[in-house]
Amino acid sequence: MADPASFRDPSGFVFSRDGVVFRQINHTFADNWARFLSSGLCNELTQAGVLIPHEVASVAPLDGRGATVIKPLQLDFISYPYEWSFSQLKDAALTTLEIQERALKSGMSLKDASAYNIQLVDGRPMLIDSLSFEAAVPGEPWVAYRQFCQHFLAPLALMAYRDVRLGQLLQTSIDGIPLDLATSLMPGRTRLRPGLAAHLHLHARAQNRPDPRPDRRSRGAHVSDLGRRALLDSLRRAVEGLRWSPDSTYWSGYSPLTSYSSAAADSKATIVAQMLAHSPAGRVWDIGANDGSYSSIAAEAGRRVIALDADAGAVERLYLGVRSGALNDILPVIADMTNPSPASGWALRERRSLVDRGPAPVAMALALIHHLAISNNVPLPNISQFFAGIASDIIIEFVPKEDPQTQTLLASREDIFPDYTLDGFRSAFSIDYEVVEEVPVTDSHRTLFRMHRRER
Amino acid sequence: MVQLPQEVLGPATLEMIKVAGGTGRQALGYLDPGTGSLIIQAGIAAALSVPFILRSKIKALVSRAARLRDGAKEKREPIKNALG
Repeated sequence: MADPASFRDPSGFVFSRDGVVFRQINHTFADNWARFLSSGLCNELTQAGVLIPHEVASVAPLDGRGATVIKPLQLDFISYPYEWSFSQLKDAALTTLEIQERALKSGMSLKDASAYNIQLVDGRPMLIDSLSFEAAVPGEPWVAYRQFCQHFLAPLALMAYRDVRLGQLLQTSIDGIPLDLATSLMPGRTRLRPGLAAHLHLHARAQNRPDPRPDRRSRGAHVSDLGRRALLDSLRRAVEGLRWSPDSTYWSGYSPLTSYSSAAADSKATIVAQMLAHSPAGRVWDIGANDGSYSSIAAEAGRRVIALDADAGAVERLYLGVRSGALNDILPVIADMTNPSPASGWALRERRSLVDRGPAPVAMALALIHHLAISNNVPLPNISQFFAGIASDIIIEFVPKEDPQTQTLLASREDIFPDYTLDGFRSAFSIDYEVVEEVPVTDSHRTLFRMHRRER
Repeated sequence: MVQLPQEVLGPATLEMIKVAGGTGRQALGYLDPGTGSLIIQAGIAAALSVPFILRSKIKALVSRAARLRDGAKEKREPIKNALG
């Protein structure tokens, strides 16, 4: 079956067969593909860890356009740029520029610079579209320059200079943030930064101006080899110069362990590890992962973890930990469970919703339920139903009203949650799940449950 | 090459073939780069070339000076060691 997100590029497309993902290379792209391989660029990028490795597959093309089929490294979860923290997007941008620099040295060029072509694998950005290369034509401008600015530079500048949450604009602007919109939101002082002034402000103005000579089009635009290198160098410096610190978000300074005694924290960690050991094999979604304490426990147990959190600061900190090598097998992702990433793009199938990218064999929801039920007024049966759609097994913590954290949430509002009790929780979740284990956390009012989804 | 009349191909296709110059390259280019973007890119790249060269030259000079300094240091070291 052809991947519904892979239809724009006539060079080939992604398809899956028996759960294995392949990429078809069309006859029209065969020359460029041969050149990509023979130039050594493919090997170079793969060895540098910036291009997804692949092997030639001995399966037939999906249709008559196909010349070859390759089998790339199989990824178990695809994340989207609007789910990345600042440094994730920045690293993806720098990797794209590094790839373009290396490509130019091999006489090739990236024909697109989409942020969706990058995935974060083991804390490193990697290009997943092996068909993104074409022979560089001397003197021709970089065809993906505008796309790079819209997908990377504009959102990063907005996040750095205005508000990190503006990265979410990528969700509604599927081909990157329009430059006129980005520059209208940016503070005036960004005009004093040469890189931003040129690649965003000036660029936005040039785009808005009608072409005085439409008949001549790109033939009037010549970029020398030196100009190309200077352009890439300038883009790289502009991206490197953008910084954002996660100190400013609420959750990034919050540790889920602060409301526990050390005995309770130890007890909870032990119970989680034991419950994970008895859970089905496969990847784990840690929902409300915060600083990744429990994601780390799962990763240490050999699980691949998708650590989801609504807070950009928490995800940023976790990513920096993963990138430094301190944490492995964890992919931090920004996801608000009260409003998870929706399906979007062409026919609503180009970018899949978060739920569609599941289900996971196991989901953990630790110190989360009170935020959903009390802060966001989501009834417990609805929460149960949602989890049943994303995971067959869950490890979930009930945080009762007696808990200091829940009391804080109730301090400023009326308690309209008569069913928010341990019995009410058991009853609500019993519709979708059966309780396999129920263990109280030592020196705390909290209880941990391991549940298995009922067969329907 | 088979010649097809203009009315069959249409102006957009003809333009694509003309620009491609027979390489077939434009036929594969699926991204609209934006005319304004291409033109401004050429201008920006030209303007950036001068400071880029200057920076490269300065960098090369600095690294050359550092190499010379290190070389001189290495030459001194054996003497120092011999004396020590």
